[in-house]
Amino acid sequence: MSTRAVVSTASADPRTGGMRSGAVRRWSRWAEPALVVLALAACWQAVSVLDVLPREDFPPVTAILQALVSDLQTSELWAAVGASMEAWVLGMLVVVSIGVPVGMLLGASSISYRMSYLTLEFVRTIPGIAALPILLFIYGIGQDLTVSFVVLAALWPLLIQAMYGMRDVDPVAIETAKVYGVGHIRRVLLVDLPSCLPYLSTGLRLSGTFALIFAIATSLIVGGEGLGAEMARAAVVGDRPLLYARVLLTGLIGLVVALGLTTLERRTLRWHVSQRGAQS
Amino acid sequence: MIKKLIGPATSLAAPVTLVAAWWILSAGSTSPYFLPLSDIVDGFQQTWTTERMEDDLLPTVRALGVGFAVAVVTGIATGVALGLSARARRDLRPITEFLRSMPVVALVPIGLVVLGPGQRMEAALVAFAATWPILVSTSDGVRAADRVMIDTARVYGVSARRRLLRVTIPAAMPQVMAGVRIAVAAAVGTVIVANMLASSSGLGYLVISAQQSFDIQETWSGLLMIGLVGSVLTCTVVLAERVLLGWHRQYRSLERTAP
Repeated sequence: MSTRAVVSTASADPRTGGMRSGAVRRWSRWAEPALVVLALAACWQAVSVLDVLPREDFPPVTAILQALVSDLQTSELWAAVGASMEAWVLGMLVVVSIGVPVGMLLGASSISYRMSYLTLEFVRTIPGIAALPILLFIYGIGQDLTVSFVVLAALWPLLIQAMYGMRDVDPVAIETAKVYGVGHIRRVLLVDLPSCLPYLSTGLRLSGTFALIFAIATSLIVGGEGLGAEMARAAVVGDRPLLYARVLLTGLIGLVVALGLTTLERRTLRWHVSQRGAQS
Repeated sequence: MIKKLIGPATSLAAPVTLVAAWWILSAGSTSPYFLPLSDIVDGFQQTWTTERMEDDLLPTVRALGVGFAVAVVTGIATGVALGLSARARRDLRPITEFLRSMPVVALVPIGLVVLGPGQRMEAALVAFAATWPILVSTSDGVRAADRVMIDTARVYGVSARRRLLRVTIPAAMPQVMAGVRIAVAAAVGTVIVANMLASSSGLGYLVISAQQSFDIQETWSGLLMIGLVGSVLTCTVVLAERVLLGWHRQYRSLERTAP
């Protein structure tokens, strides 16, 4: 979609041909968005310094960045980031090892699919946050709580996608494999799994972003070790620039996770029939 | 006729069995945390007196409703604008991607600091959390609206405004509603977290304070109510979808082929 925009800006000016159009293209692809970001940061800075909005509550960008840089040099912050990411990774491992097989199993037969899909679609809309107090009774504050909460909240999207994926396996491919005498386990590995892959990677992206939210929410609400607890601490102390810096860092981590999972999704989708037409 | 009845029956079988299994298996439960379901239901009735509903349920539902309404309006409006302009989409992409992937709970401390505790802060956070899913899928839907239809309308001299209202936006409606549906979960989750962290009343507050005073029955009652609020909001959105999209070709065929 960005290429379409670029083509239209380049062709709007017929004098920019050859070498220059490449430069123009690169310029408008990177520089304009970058300028927008800078302009917004400048606006914030001005609003804060001129006290249009209370400076106390909206610290200037420079102060936030300063707080971020000095915060990044403390080991406490890295320990907190480490704890949150560890909970995320462990939670996602459990989510994948439960969600994929159970989802594929439920999707494998049309009876189990029909029986479960409405229930599951419904379960996924129930806010997982509701389970936190009960989990808190069971595990107390700590990494166990965070991981189990992450699993409970992030399991559903992947499981449901795995189920949909199995419904979409080409029956001809299965029959062909059967005719050629491919055994059951090999059939799952060679036919079912690859054709589910696009669904699985979409589910992984959805689950991954959920998991991150809940990994951070847990320590924010109940304390313990993690990015959420660090934010709560900065808020309690009343250090606004530090609070903004930690929220900014959390946003950046969220962005990295989201971009990573989207890239993974595109990679795994590239070979798939549904994408081949779109690529060319 | 029989087929019509079997469809819902099979999809209702699983939830009914699950609840029944929960009821039977938990009946003799002596675990302090997993109460028998009958006790939970009793507790639910005891907890949710009219007074309690006014004090704890209503503020949460109000913040949720106001925030969600704001999100729907801003999400659709901004989404349409971004969907129409490739340049705006590209230039704002770093901002939208950043705000969209921001774990929304991270904004609760800032909301608390800037707006103070209360319904205003809760509604603002709900609005923020629910806007992004709606915005993103609206802009996708508008972008994917059928070119041929739009060009046909243009050739027939339909004005730009009418083209937008009568062709582009209706064409994008299925995606808009898909975004709204995703936004429900985000909105309910956010209001509960804000409640848990920063309020002296409300559903989240009730659950977390019941937890802290080890009142297990009340914790379960609050939990059940949160589930109920989420379900009611989801059902409302699904109903709205039926009404708004009943005419839509793709939607109708989807309904028909849905297993």
